[in-house]
Amino acid sequence: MSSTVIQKDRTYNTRNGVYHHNQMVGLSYGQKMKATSGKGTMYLLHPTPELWTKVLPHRTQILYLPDISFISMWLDLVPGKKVIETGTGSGSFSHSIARNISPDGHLYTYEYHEQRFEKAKAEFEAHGLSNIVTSKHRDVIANGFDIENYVDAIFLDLPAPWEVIGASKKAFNKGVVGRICSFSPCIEQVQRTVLALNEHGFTGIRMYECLVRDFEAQHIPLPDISTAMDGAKVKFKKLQFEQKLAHKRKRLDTDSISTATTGNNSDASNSTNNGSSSYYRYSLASKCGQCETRGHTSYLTFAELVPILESTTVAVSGEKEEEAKIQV
Amino acid sequence: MEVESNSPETTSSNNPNIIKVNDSVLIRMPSGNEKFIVLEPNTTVSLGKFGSFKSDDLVGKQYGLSFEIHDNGVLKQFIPEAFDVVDETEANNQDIRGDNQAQTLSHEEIEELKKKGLSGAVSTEEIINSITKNNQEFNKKTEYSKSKYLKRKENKYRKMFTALGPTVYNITNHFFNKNPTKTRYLRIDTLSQILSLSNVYSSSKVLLVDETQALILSSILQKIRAPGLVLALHDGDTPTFNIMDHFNFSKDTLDNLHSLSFKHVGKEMEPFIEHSDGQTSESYHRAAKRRKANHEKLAKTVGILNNTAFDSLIISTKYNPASVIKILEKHLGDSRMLVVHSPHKEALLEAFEYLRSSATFLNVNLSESWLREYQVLPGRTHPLMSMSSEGGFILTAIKVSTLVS
Repeated sequence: MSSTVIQKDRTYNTRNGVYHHNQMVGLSYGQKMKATSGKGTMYLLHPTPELWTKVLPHRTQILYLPDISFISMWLDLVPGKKVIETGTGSGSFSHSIARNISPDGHLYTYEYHEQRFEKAKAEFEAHGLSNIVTSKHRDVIANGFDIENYVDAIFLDLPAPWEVIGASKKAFNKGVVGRICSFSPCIEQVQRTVLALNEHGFTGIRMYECLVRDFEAQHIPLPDISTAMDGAKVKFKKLQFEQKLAHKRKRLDTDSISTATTGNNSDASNSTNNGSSSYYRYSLASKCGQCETRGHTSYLTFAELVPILESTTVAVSGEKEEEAKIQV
Repeated sequence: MEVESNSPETTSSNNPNIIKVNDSVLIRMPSGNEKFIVLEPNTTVSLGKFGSFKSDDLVGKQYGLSFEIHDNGVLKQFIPEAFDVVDETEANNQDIRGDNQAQTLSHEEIEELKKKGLSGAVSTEEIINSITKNNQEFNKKTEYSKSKYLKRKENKYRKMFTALGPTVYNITNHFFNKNPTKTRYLRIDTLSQILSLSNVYSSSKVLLVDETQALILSSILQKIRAPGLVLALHDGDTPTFNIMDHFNFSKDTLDNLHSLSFKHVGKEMEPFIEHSDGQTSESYHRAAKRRKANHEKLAKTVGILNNTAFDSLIISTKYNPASVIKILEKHLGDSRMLVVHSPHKEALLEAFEYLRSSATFLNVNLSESWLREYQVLPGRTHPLMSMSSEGGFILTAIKVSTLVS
């Protein structure tokens, strides 16, 4: 999968063939296109933040779907929210934030690396997000944010997030519960961030890690052991190979019929297979997609900044004060 | 803690951050227990041993704040400390006896204290103070376990609560922890992935089969603005949208929701015919008018189903997901997302296989999310001792066209 901007008289070249941009114009999204030379085909897909995350040019480490989704929910990113993100990085999360807070929310995204800032800004413009995303070239650790008493949520993806907790506090809208998330790969970063959050009066501090595991469905032969007791040795590898072939054939069949409504696929739950291996019982089983999977992305630290009502006397329990005295 | 005072934002009747009369409010008590209350005007809300207060006193306050209940139910904002940074001492648990002999106050004396606490004669601090003072072992404890002990006592005796906002996060967590069968074991991280993968945004047109008592529906409705809409399909005559009430949606938001029974799916709409059989009474005419209006509404909803290329098709159903996909896939637009949720992976395998072999779906993927929470304290950081073992499975695919050019 890759992304391309349609331009006059340009071609898109792949190993399996050449595709002319001019011919893409006027096609509808989701349509299949044949290469003009070579035997390749490809699908033209409508961009979404999730697809963009898969194909975007990496200028930094990026955030992926599980973290993006969980953070968005914790920060309550719904239409109308005002959000700060720093650093912008490759803009993977920015696109998802923009989608979630549109049409009347706004994202202020800060990046201190000039080239990265310019590339991200150009991307937001090219993707029609200029009315929702404001890119800023600024070192927030040195200079803080240029926004005060305004935003609902702040997302920090910085090497030293604890340095901007004070600045974040200023940026939050004082009239609502402010929600902050810090994204850090190392536990030591988390510990320093949590101390800083605590010091600045943030509460409800929680820390999570979120990962996903992919599965596949397969028909696996499950012959009764009596087969072996009868002296036979089942050729499992061969059976599985035949099964795969049968499936490929099925896929090709449906391809040529171009089914759009109710398919005539056999009920998979009957667990038997036609052809040479029909003697054996097959079960539809699941298995992890790959042997190796992502084991860590980052720790997600969350906290809230609650507004203080005017009449508030802050309750700190008496014993704690006593405790403090004892320690001194 | 030193706090500067701030003037709260002006309250506005449609500000979702402000608690309104007749809102359903999720209340979290110090014990960690949560319950929904509906803020009917001029009533007393009782939180059992955590005290009671007048419903009107909560109206106009921001969601997400904590309050301590003082004498006569007066509410004062309470700012909990995130945690105490404790300096460790040489203390250890070598000499601490675990035989309940440490507390010199009798059971009766403690009960008496609690009673005084409820009536407001004794403050929470005083209760905890005397319990701590009369614990012979308290000073032998490490600073960390002292702080833990105090927190525990505070959770038991402090008369306070938090008015949680009606966010998807809070409500999903509430049901997941309290009654997960209602929401089909849908955990917060899994739901968040459903919302991302389905690419739902403000002007999306979403086709939905939701048997999580409308948890998914509510989380989508929160994002949708006209001309975006949600068409929710259900079995039987009336949908079960119980959880939706807790979101306090405005009428504008609810106008974006259309619901339709499966019994009307895939059938021709019959024209409206009224057999008056000579009846002319006024009540008959009213009823006839209502029947006609209902029929028109139904025809309109069927029209939405049949005339819309939906931007997302989201399914969480107890019926066979494969059978639901086969019926509804034609309503999903090209290059749009299908997302299916189930607490049972096996229930999704047939659908997975169907999508894999179908020429109209790409990128078929089945996944499970995993979520681990950590305690982060100086020198005491570790994953929580227990975690949720299941949060649901998600099957996704991109719908494509069969047209080739």
